[in-house]
Amino acid sequence: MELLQGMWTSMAFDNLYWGNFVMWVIALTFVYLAINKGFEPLLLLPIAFGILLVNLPSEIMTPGEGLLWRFYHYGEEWAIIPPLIFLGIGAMTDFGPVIANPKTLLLGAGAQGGVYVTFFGALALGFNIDQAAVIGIIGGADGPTTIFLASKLAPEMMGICAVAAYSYMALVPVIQPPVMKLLTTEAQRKIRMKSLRKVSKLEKIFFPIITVIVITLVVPDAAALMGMFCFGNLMRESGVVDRLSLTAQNELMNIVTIFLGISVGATMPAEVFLTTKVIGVFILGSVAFCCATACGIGLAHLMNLFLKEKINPLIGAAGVSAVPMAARVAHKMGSEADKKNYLLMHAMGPNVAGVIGTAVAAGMFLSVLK
Amino acid sequence: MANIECPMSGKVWKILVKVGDTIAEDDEVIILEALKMENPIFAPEDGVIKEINVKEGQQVTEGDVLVVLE
Amino acid sequence: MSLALTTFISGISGVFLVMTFLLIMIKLSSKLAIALEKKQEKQEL
Repeated sequence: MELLQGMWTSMAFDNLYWGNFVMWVIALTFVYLAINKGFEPLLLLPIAFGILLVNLPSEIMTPGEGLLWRFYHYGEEWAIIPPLIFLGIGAMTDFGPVIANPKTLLLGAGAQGGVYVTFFGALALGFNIDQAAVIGIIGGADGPTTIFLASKLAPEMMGICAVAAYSYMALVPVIQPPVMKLLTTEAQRKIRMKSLRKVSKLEKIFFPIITVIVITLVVPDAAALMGMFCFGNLMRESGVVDRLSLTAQNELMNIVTIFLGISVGATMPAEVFLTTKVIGVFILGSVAFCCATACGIGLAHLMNLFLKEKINPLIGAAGVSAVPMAARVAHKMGSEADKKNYLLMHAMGPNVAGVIGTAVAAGMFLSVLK
Repeated sequence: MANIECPMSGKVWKILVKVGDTIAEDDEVIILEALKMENPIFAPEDGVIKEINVKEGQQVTEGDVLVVLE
Repeated sequence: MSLALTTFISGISGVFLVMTFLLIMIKLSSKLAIALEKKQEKQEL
């Protein structure tokens, strides 16, 4: 009898409470969404497994000893992984559309308006100012930037905000179209844009160098993200270090994604996740997305007042930096209005500019709030 | 006589017509894969396919002539 | 001025400032790059 009792206590059942079971259900739902619905599976699957692991009674997240805690501490608390992901994104991104039509940079900035609307929304709901900044940045639709900012300002919000950012990114094709339809007329959606000029190799090489200098001088706090981003892009465009560039966008990216996903998931034990705050974050997150879409379109309308060659306001919505989902949505909406309207490449301009815009917005938050 | 030009860079995913086919305006001619998305290319006007200049799987850039109509 | 308002104003103006500045610099660098390439082409001829 005593033997059995000893076995029972050495097992973990005693340490569970109802919240853990709820988290199992949530984790399994994410697994289901990732596998059956294809919701950002590369991230959601590791995150879901991290959630499951941390809600099983073990010492896996104990500070100073647990395995996942070490991943989390060295990867995210030290803010190493998000810049490494930016290195990969830089190596993957073709800035041709931005260089050919630099005006799209402004659209990438315009969509960041959603970040600030949400920032005030979060303050009104009673989040403190650091948390509000992190919730706001969800509207930028950039997972690594959200995690980066959370690690510096509000580590306790990291997991929730990352999940919100990634799940809303997967929902971009659902969230954006109604807002886009509401804010544009059929005729405006039909606007065809002149095809982009060819961009030479030298211009593409100059781009990351100029960008890193300009941004670091104006917003030094964005240096970690933008430095890696531009470095990755220079490796890509230089054409002489294909091996490094390919490693950054494939192997390195995949490796850090594994560590990022599972340890972000591990920041969500039931005690942290099952609070009313979480509902607030998810509501604000969707508000952030809608506002960012609306601000992007609004700015495109505003620019059209001054431009001789009109831009299609739909591409303003692509300033939300979910690459390339937001650009695809803009393209699809455009071709629904006019079959022969090909907006994809035009929408890639604001789309990649949005990545820069969100990183700059995060840098601005850091410079004021740090 | 008209050419169907490629509107954006990508990969030819499927060619839906053969030489000699009669097509009407807005028929799907070629499906182009760009950014992991299938983009149908539509005929600009009625016509008969005279030449097809690309193969399935071929990489194309903006401005390339894909199909010649007459 | 409250911290929230400061954050907002510096943030939004910062983002637009950076992007406008970047816009100008990119245009200039494009011109430079195209000019340099033209020069090179001429030398090759």
